[in-house]
Amino acid sequence: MGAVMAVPLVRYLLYPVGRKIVSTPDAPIDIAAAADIVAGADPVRLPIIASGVRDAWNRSDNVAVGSCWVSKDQQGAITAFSSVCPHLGCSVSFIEKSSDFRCPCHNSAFDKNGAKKDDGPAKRGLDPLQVTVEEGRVKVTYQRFRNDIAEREPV
Amino acid sequence: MLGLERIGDWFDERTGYREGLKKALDEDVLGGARFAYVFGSVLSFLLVLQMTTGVFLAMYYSPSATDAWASVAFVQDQVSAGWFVRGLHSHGASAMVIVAGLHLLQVAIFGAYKKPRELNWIIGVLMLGLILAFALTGYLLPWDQTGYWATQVATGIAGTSPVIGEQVQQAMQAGNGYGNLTITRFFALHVFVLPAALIGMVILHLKLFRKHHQTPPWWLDKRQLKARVQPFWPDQMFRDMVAMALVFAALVAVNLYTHGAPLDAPADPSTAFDARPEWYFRFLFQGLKYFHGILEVIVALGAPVIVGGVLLALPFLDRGPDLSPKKRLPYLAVLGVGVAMVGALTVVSFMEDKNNPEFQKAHKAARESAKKARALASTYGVPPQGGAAVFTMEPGYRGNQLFKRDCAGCHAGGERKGPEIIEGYNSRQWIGDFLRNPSANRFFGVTKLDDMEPVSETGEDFDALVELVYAQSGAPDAKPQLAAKGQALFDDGSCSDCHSIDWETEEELGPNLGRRGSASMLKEFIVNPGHLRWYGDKNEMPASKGEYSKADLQELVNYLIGLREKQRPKG
Repeated sequence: MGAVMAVPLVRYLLYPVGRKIVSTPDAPIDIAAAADIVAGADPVRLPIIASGVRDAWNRSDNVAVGSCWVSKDQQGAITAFSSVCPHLGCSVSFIEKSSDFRCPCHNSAFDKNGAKKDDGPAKRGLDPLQVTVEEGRVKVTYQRFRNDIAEREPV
Repeated sequence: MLGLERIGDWFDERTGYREGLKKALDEDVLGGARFAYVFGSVLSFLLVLQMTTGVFLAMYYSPSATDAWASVAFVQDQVSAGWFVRGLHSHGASAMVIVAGLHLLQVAIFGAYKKPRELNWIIGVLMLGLILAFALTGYLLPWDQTGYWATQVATGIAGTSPVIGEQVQQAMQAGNGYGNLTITRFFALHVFVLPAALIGMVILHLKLFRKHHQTPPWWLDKRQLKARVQPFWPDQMFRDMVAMALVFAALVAVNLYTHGAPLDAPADPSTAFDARPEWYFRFLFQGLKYFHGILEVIVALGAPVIVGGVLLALPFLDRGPDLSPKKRLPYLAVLGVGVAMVGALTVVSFMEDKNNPEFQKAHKAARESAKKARALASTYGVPPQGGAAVFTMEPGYRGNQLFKRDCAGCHAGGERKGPEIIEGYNSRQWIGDFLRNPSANRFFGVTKLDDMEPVSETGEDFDALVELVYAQSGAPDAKPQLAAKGQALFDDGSCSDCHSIDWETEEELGPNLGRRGSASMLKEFIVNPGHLRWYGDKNEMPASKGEYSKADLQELVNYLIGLREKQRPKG
């Protein structure tokens, strides 16, 4: 009797493990007009507002799933970093004074190009999000990665 | 009284309750009743309080990612005494941690973990773990910014466990990220699993306590102990009740002073938030800052294991018969160092935040955001999309979104193609600045319409012209007399060479200024700026005929009119 109950209950409990319970469509998400991002300026935090977001039984449109730090270099190339700290998942800030990214939780630090600085506990740099520019609009592909490991492993 | 006694007899004959009661209360306290023994009773009292307030909270709480924050905000700000009940529950959790800590120290100092009470000590340590698990799971349930971000760190740490870290993390948060299932899982743990486990352990703990009794003070010998025996009821019970009353009074006082527990803005993964755990986890949080790489995993996962392990092993390490703390100094010293380290890390953590201007700024912004979210929730309700959607209920929010989407590209920012439309737009100041220098970059300098001459009037005449234009908007604070004077100047001076101000006249050199800035004018203008009344064939702005619903157009116009009352940002 024990096994008859235990097997289904354990399977029931572990159902979410390894499954995409929370998901955002793979299609690039419009975040801004390319013209609004000033070349050479400090990165700006832009919210990522997605539609078709699944959360278990819910499906929602126009919800904020995260944010990214976006900048444009002098040649006009746009990069975006996920604002999720690769250490333990807090939200990193850009510090103007030191011109670098800092996590307010455990002081992980990243330079302006997202590379990991020596101080701070993060094991990798900020996670870049794929950027495309179509008809003057900046779009990013939203992804989350496993935290606190050196590799970039999507979840 | 006779009646009551007879009712008592009736029940006693059928249940034998009197004997049970006698058993429960007639317990000899060797060496006399003491305030040192009150902590266990106070903990039982707090547990009952937590269960009561918890059940009441559950009557309003809705465990889903979209509802949780809204339902907690409802309890906090709408339900009668909701803030009081929730505050007691939240502060009560802190009280449990404190009293459990004191209980542990009392037991340790009295050597009460020694043979034959080892198992009861172990159960006690496990219960302390359960209390912390309650705190951790409860912190997330409001689904506010603090709970959401701080708990991410906790599950993130679980994710660093060797080999099965990812699986452990996903089992805890129920999936690849935070969402509905995270809440339902934490909720089930918090209100079913943990209480059942804790109650079971409390029963065992009390049973074993009754079997072995309290550990008498080490400074009294056997003869003295025998000489000073007092019954549990009323001597110890009285002390217990005094302690309960004091703790309860303190709890209520703190609750009144803080007006309940804090509730932050709804969880929003797109915003910045400086997450901090509850104060009793601060030492772990702070500790993590000092250890990087492989050391981090060892500390984050190892420290709790080591601390728990040392506590659990204590009765087997300190096995001598001596109860006197003096003879057990090494063991108590280890405990003391542990307590000192926890205390020091906690203080350092709070001091670091206090001296960090960035954190203070973020903290202040978070408090303001919380205040706004809760005010909006109280006034308008929370949309079904989720807590964070409460911000869309702000008057002007939709208009602002439409403006950002459709208008800001040309009317704000670095690559403007039309006059700047920001805070202060169409205020007297804006109109005045415009009339003095219409071709400035802020105004028509970036368009082809840059041939208007600056107005040459000064002093009150200038103010009168400004007032005339301002009054067209129908602003309630317009001054009709001054505007009338402006009208005379308008008609007599050079303005009327190019402009009319009557709404009707068309095809002049400059736009008709009638009703300028009013809702009716803005609505028609947005839809068709090239109307002959305004710019005709000189118009550069795309018409948006048919693009807006009536409601959206109204929202956009409300937003534009709202800018008039706002202060133009400096620079």
